[in-house]
Amino acid sequence: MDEKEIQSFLVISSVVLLVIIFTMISLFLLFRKKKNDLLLEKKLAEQKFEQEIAKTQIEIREEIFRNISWELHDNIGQLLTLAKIQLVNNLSTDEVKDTISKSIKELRTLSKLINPEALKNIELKQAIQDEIDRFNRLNFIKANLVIEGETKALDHKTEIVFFRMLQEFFSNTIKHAKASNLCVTLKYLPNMLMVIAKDNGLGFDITNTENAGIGLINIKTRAKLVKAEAEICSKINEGTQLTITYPYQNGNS
Amino acid sequence: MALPEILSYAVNLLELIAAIVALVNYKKYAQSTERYFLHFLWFTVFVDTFIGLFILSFYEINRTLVYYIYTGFSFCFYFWWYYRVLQKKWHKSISIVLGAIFLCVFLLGFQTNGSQKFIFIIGAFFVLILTGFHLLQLSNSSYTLKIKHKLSFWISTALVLFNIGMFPLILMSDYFKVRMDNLVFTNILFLLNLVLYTCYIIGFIWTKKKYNHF
Repeated sequence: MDEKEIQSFLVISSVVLLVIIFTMISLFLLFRKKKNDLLLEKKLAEQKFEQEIAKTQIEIREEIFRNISWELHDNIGQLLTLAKIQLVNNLSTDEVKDTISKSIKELRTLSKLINPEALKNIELKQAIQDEIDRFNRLNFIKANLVIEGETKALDHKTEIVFFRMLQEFFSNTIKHAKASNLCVTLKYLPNMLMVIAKDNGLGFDITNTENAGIGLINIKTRAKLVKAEAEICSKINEGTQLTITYPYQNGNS
Repeated sequence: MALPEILSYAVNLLELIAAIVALVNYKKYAQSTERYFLHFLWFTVFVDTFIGLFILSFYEINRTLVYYIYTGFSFCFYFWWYYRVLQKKWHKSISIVLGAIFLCVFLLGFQTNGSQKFIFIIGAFFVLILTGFHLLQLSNSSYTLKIKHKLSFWISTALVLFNIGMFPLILMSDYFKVRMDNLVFTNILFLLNLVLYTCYIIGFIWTKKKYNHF
């Protein structure tokens, strides 16, 4: 190469190198920034998820405490009052014994519910069964649980959310629907879990937004939280049905 | 052996290595549209080595014409590939429009004996637009977290670096009146090819199957 060629080589190669290096640095900075943004976004979403789970757990506990207070007052309290009346009226000791034994039995069942370990390690199937047993025991409603397919353990947090959704549905059924029957079905399909809760209560007009109370909106929001879908169908005087669909691939099962 | 000749063989060697590495790692990206790059790399080896080194040396065929057709074909391949990998509708439409414009200019140049440099500048500019779209698409996806395993990222990076480097090379070689067969041009062209094929090779080695779905 002569001097002129060397000169042009140096100029051109410097410019080419400069352009390449500048592009590489720009690409590196762009992808690093996007990566950091995405990580931050993920972290915030995780934090929000944890907060929602904690809130759900607190709500479950509150509901359980409400039930306990109710049961103490309306069930055990009534039995003990009956025992007192029986004693005051000098009825046979066998009758008083019977009433007190019944109270003790109810008290034992209730103490199981307050066990902190049971609250902490909620297992969906067992938790629903406990609720249904309680409804039947207290004669609130005739309830039953049907399990179809082979039971599959889900992520613990997902189970907590599902249980809270069902708890809200049950609460609506008992408080507002005036239903006599409640049926819960857990369908473990090969690729998804379907949870169906159905009552035969008064039902409501689903198109009327006033009827879509906070409880029902909460159910849908909670479903989204664990990447599930919740559908509520209701017809006046025919009852209400909640269907939760949860594809296993959406979470760590 | 003179330096330009050595560098020319070195480029052939780089193409061959990239094609072999692509073949060895084919299973990792067999499901995605990047699989066509394997065919494209072997086609490049065939044109550059088999036709370029052997056929053209023994038969009197117009070398410029062969490389003009090859340049046109390779840009058309890039446009088609970007049409497949870009997801937004308007990105796809732009790739069709750019491809069509390029094809018209290419055919027009074919008839009027147009220069390879001119067609290259147009093609490189259009490809740079499409690589920009694709890199933007990747940067806004969750692939950013493990971008080094995404083959299309390495292919686009290779194309960006090569084409963006070719711009000053072609424009300034005109300014300094450097001919394409001059040592200055060959040296820098080798450097750009080195960057291009190194990116391809890294991409084929680092990529993982689960990152190549589309």
